[in-house]
Amino acid sequence: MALSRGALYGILIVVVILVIAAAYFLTLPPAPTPTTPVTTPTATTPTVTTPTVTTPTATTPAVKEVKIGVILPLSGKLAETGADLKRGIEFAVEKINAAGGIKNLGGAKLVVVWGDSAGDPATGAAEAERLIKEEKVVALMGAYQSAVTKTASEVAESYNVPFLNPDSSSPTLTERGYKWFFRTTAHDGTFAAQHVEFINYLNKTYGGLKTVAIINEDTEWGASTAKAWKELFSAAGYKIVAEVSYHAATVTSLDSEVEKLKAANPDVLLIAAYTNDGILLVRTMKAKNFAPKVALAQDAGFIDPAYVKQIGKDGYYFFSREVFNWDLLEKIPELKKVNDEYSAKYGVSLNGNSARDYTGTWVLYWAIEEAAKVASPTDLEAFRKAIRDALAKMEVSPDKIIMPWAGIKFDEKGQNVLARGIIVQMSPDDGKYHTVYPIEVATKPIIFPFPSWEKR
Amino acid sequence: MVVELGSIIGALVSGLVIGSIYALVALGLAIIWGVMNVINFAQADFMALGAFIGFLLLDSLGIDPLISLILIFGIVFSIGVLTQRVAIEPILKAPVLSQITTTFAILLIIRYGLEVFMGPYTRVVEVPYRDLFIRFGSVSVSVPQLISLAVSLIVAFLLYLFMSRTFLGAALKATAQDMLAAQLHGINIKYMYRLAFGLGVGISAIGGVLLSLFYPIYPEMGAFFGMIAFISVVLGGFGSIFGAYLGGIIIGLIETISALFISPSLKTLAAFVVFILILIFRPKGMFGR
Repeated sequence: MALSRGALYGILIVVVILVIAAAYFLTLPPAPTPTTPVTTPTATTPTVTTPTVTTPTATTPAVKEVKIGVILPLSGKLAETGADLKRGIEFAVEKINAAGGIKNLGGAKLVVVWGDSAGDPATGAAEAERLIKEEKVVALMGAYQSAVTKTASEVAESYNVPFLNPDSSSPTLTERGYKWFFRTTAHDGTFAAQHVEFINYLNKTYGGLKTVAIINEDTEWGASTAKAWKELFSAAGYKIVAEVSYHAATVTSLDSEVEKLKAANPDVLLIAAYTNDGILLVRTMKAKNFAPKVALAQDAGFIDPAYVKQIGKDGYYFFSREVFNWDLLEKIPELKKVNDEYSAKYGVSLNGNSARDYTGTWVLYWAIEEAAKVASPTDLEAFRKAIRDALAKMEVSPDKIIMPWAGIKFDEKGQNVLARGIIVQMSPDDGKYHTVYPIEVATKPIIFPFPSWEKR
Repeated sequence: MVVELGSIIGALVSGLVIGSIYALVALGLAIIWGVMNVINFAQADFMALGAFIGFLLLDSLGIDPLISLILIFGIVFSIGVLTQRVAIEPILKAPVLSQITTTFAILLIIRYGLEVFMGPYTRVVEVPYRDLFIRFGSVSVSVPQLISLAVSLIVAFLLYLFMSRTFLGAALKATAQDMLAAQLHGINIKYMYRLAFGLGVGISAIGGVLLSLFYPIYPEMGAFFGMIAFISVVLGGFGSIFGAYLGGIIIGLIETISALFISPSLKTLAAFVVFILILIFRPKGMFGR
C-alpha cells in the first residue's frame, strides 16, 4: 500500500511536533517535590530525583542533597564482586548521612546514583556520560576493573569531573597525566616495589638472600608483574637466576618448569599464578622437593578462597601480597568498629573490595566537605573544580581509615602515595593467611626460612 | 649448557606420565573416528566428566578413584552409549558439519553442565598416597604419577587384547575396515557404533580419573587436553588406534625434553613444530595407512 505524498508530509509534521513537545517537557525542570523528612536509610536509592537547583532569590541556597555517581559491574560476570563493592559504598553513605550529612552544606544528604558497567569498558564510558550529563553528579567513583576505569575516567576528564578510583590496580591509570583522576588504592607497580622492600627486610633480619627466580603465567598480568619484578629486584642488587613462564589456560604439567627453577637453586621464588596453575605449582614443588628459602606470590590465585581450601597444608609458609586481610581487625581499631556494624547489617565481613570502596566513599565525602567551604553545588562547574582541588590537597592520617595504609595523600598524578599492600603468610597453626608485614600491622611473626618438604 | 643425567631421566619420566594421559584421550578419539568416521569434539570433556565422577565418589562415599575406576568407566561408557543413541545416531548420514556441530554441542553441555552443578571451582582429589614419592638421587617421581602411567599402559594392553582376541573386538575392527562387508556378515552396525562411542569416551574418562590423582580438576580442564588428543591422533595416523596412543606419549616426551633443552615456555610450541614436521614427511601420520 503506497501512501500519497500529502499523507507522508502530514505524518512527518505530526512527528516533528511530537518531538518538539516531548523535548520541551523533558527539559522543563520538574516541579519541586514536597520535602518529606527522610527517616529511612533508603535515602540512597537512585530513584530520588529532587533537583539540586534552587530559586535564585535565596542568598544561601538550601542544598538538600549532593549526588555522586558510582560505576560498578553490577551485572554480568563480575556481578557478585559488584554487589560486594556496592555494599561497601552504601554502608559508607549511610554512616555519613546518619552522622549529619554534609555539614558545610547545612546537612545536605550524600546520594549515590548507580551506573552499571556490566563489566564492559564501552558501557562504563556510556554510564559515565549519562551520570555526568543527565544526573548531574558532582563527582564519579568506580569502576573496579582497570579497563572500565580507564574509559569511564576518560569521559570524566573530558567533562572536568573528578573521578575517584578506589579499587583498580593497573599502574598505567595514573600515568596518563590526568588532572581529574585520583586513586586511593596501591597499584601493581607499588606492590612489586613492596615485594623488594619485604625481601630487603628479610635479608636484613635473617640474611642470606641473594638470588631470585621468577615463575609467572604469561598473559598481560603475569608478564607485566614479572617484568616489574625483574627490573626492581635487579636494581636492588639481587641476581635473577631463572625466569620461567607458562600459559595458564593450556598448562597440563609444570614438571619441567619446576625442574628448571630447582636447577637454578634460587633463594627467593616469586610467583604470579592463577588458581589452577597455582595449585599445580605448589603440588609440583612438593613432588620435586623444591623449597627455596622464600616463596612469595603476587596474590591472584594464591589468595583465591578456592586455592586456600584445596591446597591444605601444602600451602603453609607461602607468602602472598594482599590488599587486606581478616586479621587486620585485631590491629586497626577503626576497622574493628566498622566491621562489627557492617557484618551485623549484611551478614558478611568487610573484605579487600568492600573495605577499599568504603574508604573511597569517605575520601570523596571529605573532599565534598572541603569543597563546600568555597563553592556551592548550585554552580556545578565550580563545585566539581573545588572537589578536585580538595582531593589534590587532601592529607589523611592512618588512624582515620580502615585500610592498612600509611594514610592518604595524592601525588600530582593522582596516586595515593601512602597506599600499600600487606604481606601475608599461611600459618601452619590454623591454615589461614596472617598478616606478617608491614610490622606495624602484623599479627604473627614471619616464619623463615620456608622449611624443606620432608621436614613438615 | 650442561644437563645432568638425573634431569634427563626426570624429564623422560614426566613426559611419559603426562603423555600417557594424552594417549588415553587420543586412544578413545581414534576408536570413535576409526569405527564411525565421526570426530568427537567432546572427547576431552568426557575426560573431565570421568575426573569429576571420581571426585564425587571419593568425596561422598570415600571410594578411592582407583577402586572406582571400573565403575566410572561403566558410567561414562553408558553415558556414551546413550549419547550415541540419542544425539549421534540420527545424524550419522548428515553432512560432516552437522556431526561436528553436534559433538561440539555435547562438549558445551558437559563442560557447562559441570560448571552449573559443581561450580567453576578448582578441586584437588585427596588420595591417601598423594604425598608418597619415590626418589632416586635427584630424580623424584610421585606415586600417583607412576600409578597413572602403569594403569594407562594396562588399559592400552587390555584394549589390545579385546581388539585382537575377542569376537566383539574383531567385529569392531571389521566395521572399521569395511562397514558394508561387516554388515553382510551379520554384524549389527548400530551396536558396533554404540560400543565404539561408549568405549571411546569411557577410556577418555579413565584418563581423567588418572589425571585427577596429580592434577587439580575444574570443569573447563578438557579444553587443552582435547587439542593435544587431536594432534596425537593425527601424529599417530588417523585410523591407527595404537598409533594414537603412541602419538600421545610422543607429544608428552617432546614437551618435557624441549622444556629441558630449550625452554619450558616453548614446550607447547616445540610439540606443535615437531607435529608439523612429521606431517610434512609423513602426511598420513606415523602409522597411517
